[in-house]
Amino acid sequence: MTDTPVAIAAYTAVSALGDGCAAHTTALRTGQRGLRRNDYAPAGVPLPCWIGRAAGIEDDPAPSLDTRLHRLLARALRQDGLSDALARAVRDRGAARVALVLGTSTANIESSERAYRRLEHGHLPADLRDPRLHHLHGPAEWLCAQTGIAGPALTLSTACSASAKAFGLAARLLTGGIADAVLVAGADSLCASTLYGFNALELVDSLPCRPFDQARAGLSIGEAAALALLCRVEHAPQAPRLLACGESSDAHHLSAPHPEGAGAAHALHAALRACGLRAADFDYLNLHGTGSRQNDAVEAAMVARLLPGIRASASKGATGHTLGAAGALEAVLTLLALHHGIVPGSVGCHAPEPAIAAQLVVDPQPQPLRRALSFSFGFGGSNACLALARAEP
Amino acid sequence: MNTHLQARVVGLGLCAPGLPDRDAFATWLRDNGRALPPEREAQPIAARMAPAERRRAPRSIRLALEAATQALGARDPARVGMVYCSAYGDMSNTDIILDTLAQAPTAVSPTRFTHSVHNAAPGYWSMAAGSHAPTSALACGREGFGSALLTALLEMHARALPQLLVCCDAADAGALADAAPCPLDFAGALLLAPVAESSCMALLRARVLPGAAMPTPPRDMRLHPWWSGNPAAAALPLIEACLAARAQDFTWPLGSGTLLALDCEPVR
Repeated sequence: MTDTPVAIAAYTAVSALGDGCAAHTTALRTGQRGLRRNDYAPAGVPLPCWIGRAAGIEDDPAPSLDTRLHRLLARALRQDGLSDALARAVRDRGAARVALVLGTSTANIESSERAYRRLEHGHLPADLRDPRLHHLHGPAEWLCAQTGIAGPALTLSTACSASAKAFGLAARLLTGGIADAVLVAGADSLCASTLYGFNALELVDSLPCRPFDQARAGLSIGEAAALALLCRVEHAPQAPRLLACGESSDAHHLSAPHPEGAGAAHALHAALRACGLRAADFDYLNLHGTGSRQNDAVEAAMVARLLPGIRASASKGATGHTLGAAGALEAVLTLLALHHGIVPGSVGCHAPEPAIAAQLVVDPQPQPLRRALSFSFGFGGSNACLALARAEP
Repeated sequence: MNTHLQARVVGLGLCAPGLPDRDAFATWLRDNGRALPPEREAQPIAARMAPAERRRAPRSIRLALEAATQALGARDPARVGMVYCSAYGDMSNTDIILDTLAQAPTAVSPTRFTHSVHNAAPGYWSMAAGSHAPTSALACGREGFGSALLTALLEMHARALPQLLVCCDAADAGALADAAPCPLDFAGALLLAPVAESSCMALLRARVLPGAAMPTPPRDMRLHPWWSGNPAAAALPLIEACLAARAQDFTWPLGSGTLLALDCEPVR
């Protein structure tokens, strides 16, 4: 059984690389690194590491319910005509026929952290009691109120695969006839929970992260909001396409990958099966590539075995690991690579892991591309593989 | 467009304070003289988990896995997907992490952080079941049951695989309870299959419609405190109808202007 492709009518992102498609395209062309020394320290002294921080977010409040995550989302809505395209969909299709699938790992937990730093007699301070600040679906409720979306609103939270899987669920809402347009959003902001949590797991590099480099020593946390407006192909025949979203479970460990990458391989095969194509039909692969010693080693071996010869690169050395936003952010980067004919480089990698050295692209190369894959793997052994295609000329 | 989505309910699971499984719940339902158990916490067994993992896993995860295990019955879990839905996740774990971050952030427990991912329960399930089948973890607010049911129906049709729909919220904890009140544990699970099977209890026909849903409370008035207290207990009226082999219509909200309408028809 093959999946029906769906159109990606509009897309954009806000990350450490800047605001919108133009900034991200320039970064892809030049191999720009968006990481900076950690200066995000809401709880005192900053951890000695590097982060991917979206510039200027501090001075750009979000309407209605101001949180760091909502600032990222509000800014993303203003890029590349996204909110206009969404408003057109709401007007032409009806608000109840436009759905939202948000992928996030931590939602507005930065606000819960602020509240816990100044509890009043063991209770949330009066100004931080809005429930949307404290539960995972809060940002989706806020986003619906901001955009007029009145169709199904779903929050998917499977750690670092969340917003890749959101594309799969959005496609099923479209092909199942439940919605005529779906906004896919991936968003996670910097927060203490993930910085100190990954630090406790000893998974944070003290230097800027170096995915697939032999000397890599962990990840750098980043923040992003990435948006994509999906519809059925007949409503946007000129747009790039989501061909399939393959998904699987590792069934191995909550925080370590399967040693042979079995779960990731299942996700890849599910994606290929769903679009009825072979690995050789793809000419670029966006790797998950966090910079963690173990994860990158497993991914390198799996890719060399199952996708030999396909040029591959990792973008987290440029953006940081944006966790629940990573799947959507990397889908946007991959769509830009397809559109502009750029094979992106692997920022931060200087001496590639031998297993993948033959196919790992270190410096960006101009090259026409037709189809690409993007991997996202998360804690809990949650894997996703997106298959994307360039707009037909 | 009013696409009908059909499914058969071929398994049920439930774990709640004082009523640890589906059979205990069914017996309690038939006995009108018994009051609702007053405890906050359930005692989930989660027999499918390996002993080491059962010791390590927090109660909220065992709660979800207990309901899933009951609903799966004797079926091969490798051929079953899971859609897990929880409004608030493991609030007790989140409360402790937030407290540590406020006091001494570098003292955050790596185990607690690992367990803080919303998909920890489906992750443990895939390990316990030895299954590479895809799983999802949703959080759709206090009224998220319709969204979870819709997602399970879509996954079931897209993959032609039965789906475990597991709704689980554990009792609240700490200051978060001010914004996310949940006075007791509750987990409910339905095993949904695309085709008729011998264990079929009910036929479900779902449609997505514009408009506002009218929440359907449980028929048994004794259940109202659970139903209004715990977001996952939005599954209770449907579980109740399946157990009573009663035809009933339901609506649940999906978004601000959309609802899921469901006809539940018993199958003999």
